[in-house]
Amino acid sequence: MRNDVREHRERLSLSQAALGDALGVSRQTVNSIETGKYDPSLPLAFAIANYFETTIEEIFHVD
Amino acid sequence: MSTKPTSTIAKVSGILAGAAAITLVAILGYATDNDSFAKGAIIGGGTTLVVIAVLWARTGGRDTASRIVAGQGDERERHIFREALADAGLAMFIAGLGCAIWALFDAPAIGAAGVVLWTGLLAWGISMILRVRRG
Repeated sequence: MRNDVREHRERLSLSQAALGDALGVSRQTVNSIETGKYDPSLPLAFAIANYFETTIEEIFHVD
Repeated sequence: MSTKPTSTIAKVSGILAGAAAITLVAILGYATDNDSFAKGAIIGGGTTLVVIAVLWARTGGRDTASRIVAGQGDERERHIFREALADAGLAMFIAGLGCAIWALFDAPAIGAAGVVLWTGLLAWGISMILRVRRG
């Protein structure tokens, strides 16, 4: 699965650690999600979408 | 998403409970004339407690192992932990089959048990390291 988390994060000039703190996950987890190594659970995907004030479909894309 | 940090009281209680368990096993070992078993329990159990204490002390800790031990792992880290346990279980099952065959050749029971336990421990450690590095 592909995602635009990095683009959304950089648009807000946030570091991975800051986004991780906001979402309640580690910096490493944010990095793993951005690089596509880890697909987040549905609750975390919703939390990410809510944080960026958008929808899951706008951030996560099936290859 | 993340779990609450483990309180200091819970950490100290955990260490004390672990120490009590090791002491009980050692007492049972000595009482049944299995001195080397008792020493193994003390050395192995003591080492494990020290490692856990060090990881707890590092909390605030930035690495995955510290956060998991401190109860602060997020969903990805708990997933890695569970997968590593599954790998260890599979490795111990295979080691158990090997030891069952070894038993046909009069393998010592304590040796076979040691092989199974160490296989599980090593498999868990290696699996954790590889899975953390892979992201």
